[in-house]
Amino acid sequence: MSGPSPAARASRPRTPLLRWLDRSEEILGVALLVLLGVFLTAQVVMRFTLGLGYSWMEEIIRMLFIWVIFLGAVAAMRRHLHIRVEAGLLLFPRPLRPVAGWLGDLLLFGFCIAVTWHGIELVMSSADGSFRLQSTGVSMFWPYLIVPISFGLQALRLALWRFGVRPEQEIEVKHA
Amino acid sequence: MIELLAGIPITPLLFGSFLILLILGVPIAHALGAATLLVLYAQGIPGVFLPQTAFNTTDSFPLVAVPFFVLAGYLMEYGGLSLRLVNLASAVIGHVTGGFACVTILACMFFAAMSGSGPATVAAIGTLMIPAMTRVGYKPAFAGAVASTGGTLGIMIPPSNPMIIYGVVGNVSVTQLFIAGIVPGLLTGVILIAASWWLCRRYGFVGGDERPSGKRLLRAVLDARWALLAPVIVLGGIYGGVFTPTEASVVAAVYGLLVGVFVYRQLTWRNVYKALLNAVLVGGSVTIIVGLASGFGRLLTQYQIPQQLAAFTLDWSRNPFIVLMIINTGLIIIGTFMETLATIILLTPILLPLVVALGVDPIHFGILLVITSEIGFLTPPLGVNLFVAMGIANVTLEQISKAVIPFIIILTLVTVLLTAVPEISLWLPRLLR
Repeated sequence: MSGPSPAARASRPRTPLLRWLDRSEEILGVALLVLLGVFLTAQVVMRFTLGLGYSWMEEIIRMLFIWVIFLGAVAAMRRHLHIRVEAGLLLFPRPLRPVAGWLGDLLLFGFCIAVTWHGIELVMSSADGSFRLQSTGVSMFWPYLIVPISFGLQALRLALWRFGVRPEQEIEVKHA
Repeated sequence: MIELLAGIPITPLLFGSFLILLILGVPIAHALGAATLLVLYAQGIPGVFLPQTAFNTTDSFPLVAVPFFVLAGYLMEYGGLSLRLVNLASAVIGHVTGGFACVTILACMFFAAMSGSGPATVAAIGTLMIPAMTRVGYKPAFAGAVASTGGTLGIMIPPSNPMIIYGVVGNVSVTQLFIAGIVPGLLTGVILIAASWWLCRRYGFVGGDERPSGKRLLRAVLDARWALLAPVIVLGGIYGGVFTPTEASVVAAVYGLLVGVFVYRQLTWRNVYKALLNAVLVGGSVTIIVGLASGFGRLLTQYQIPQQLAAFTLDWSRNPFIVLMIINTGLIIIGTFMETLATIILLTPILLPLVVALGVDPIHFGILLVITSEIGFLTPPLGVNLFVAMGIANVTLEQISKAVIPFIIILTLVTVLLTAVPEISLWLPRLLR
């Protein structure tokens, strides 16, 4: 909603390592998207040249996609890009708006923590290796793992945003 | 606390908590998830249901097309493909009265055949055409309005992100939707070209001074051949049954990358990273809504809320045209303040059972969702196409909103036409089925 204030600028990560870590979900998301593109391209090429389609490849593609999406959700939280009804807060009288904004973010934080918790339950349900992907035989533990990671990091990003850690450059994103 | 929640009837609890969270500025995805979780707790259903359904719904091959069509659109914009399309459109109709406005719409139609997004089409074509229009004396606000309107074709002429999302949420074939979008898309494009011609004549905006010549046209076609080949490969592949929409989206991205880097040599690695990052951000923020909304949708079905709405409506009217027009009106109103894809994800599970009960084809309804979304792109306070164009034209939201009114009226008339004559949308898919 409001851009980074001067105070927010002051609390940007200072060391190169921290700055890199600050962008890690974006970099990892982009890297996995590239990998996903490579797998999809390989799939198309193989189907055309050799007439082959591998079900293990499709499984990897689907799992990579889920990782990209859930990492993207964290990156979107960091940049405050999740789709919301911006006009909602305008319904409040001006002095109450910051309070309402804080309340909304507090509830959002609570929700992210709740989903992290239930996500851990989901991961633990597959920890004994009883659910496996059909072709690759990979335990569902690994694909499920991104759910609590994503929502845990979203909660962290939300808190960091509130306490002034914000990206240097803002990005205009065109959703539809 | 739980006992207290359990006392509240499901429907008010679900929708009430969702609306409160929306007003407090919670993202739509998370507000849907939180409302679902609250009902789960109240009903004593394990909360793991929410991440489980979110995971299962996101685990969908057609959804993979969303980030890749976004990626393809950016690569083609940064890679210089849009510039060639503008030159070509200019060689075709640049010389007539109001030619530059017509060129803008036509170039948007070309770009729409590679892009699945409305505002991205405005950015790709508007960046080139809005300055060109103001240079020959168009009012900046009008130039911005023309580009905003042309950009709406990005989601009607396939590929189309809203169609992919609607197809996944409503369980409708994305390929069939893409085929259905062709005739309404071309029709809307032609109507908009005629309208801009007429408006320019009224406002006294003349065309460029270049004479039409076969030689110039041929040169423009040759120069744009790589850009023109993109929709041929992508759409031809989908319609010919060669590619799934997902495979086509990847082919489009790889094609855009290769042409931008090796043929036009305009694509820098910096821009490639920017395009990838945008794809990740759009993919993340849109698909997470699909995921978190699925639990919400399941609850709606379980408690028969769409069925109740359908029964209520059918008691009142069984005329599909009247009901669809009421829905369209509601969608246009919601479109003024809600983001398009979020609206589609939220309302499809509620409205689709209703219109199907009236005998409406789900593909026809998809086309109506798209055309009302097009109007939503142009109506403030949330008119994303206007936001993009006003930045380029350097005008205020108020100025561009006034200039775009004639086009909104025309798109509203097109909406009525598409509602009254389902054959416009259904003729081609039936022919090719």
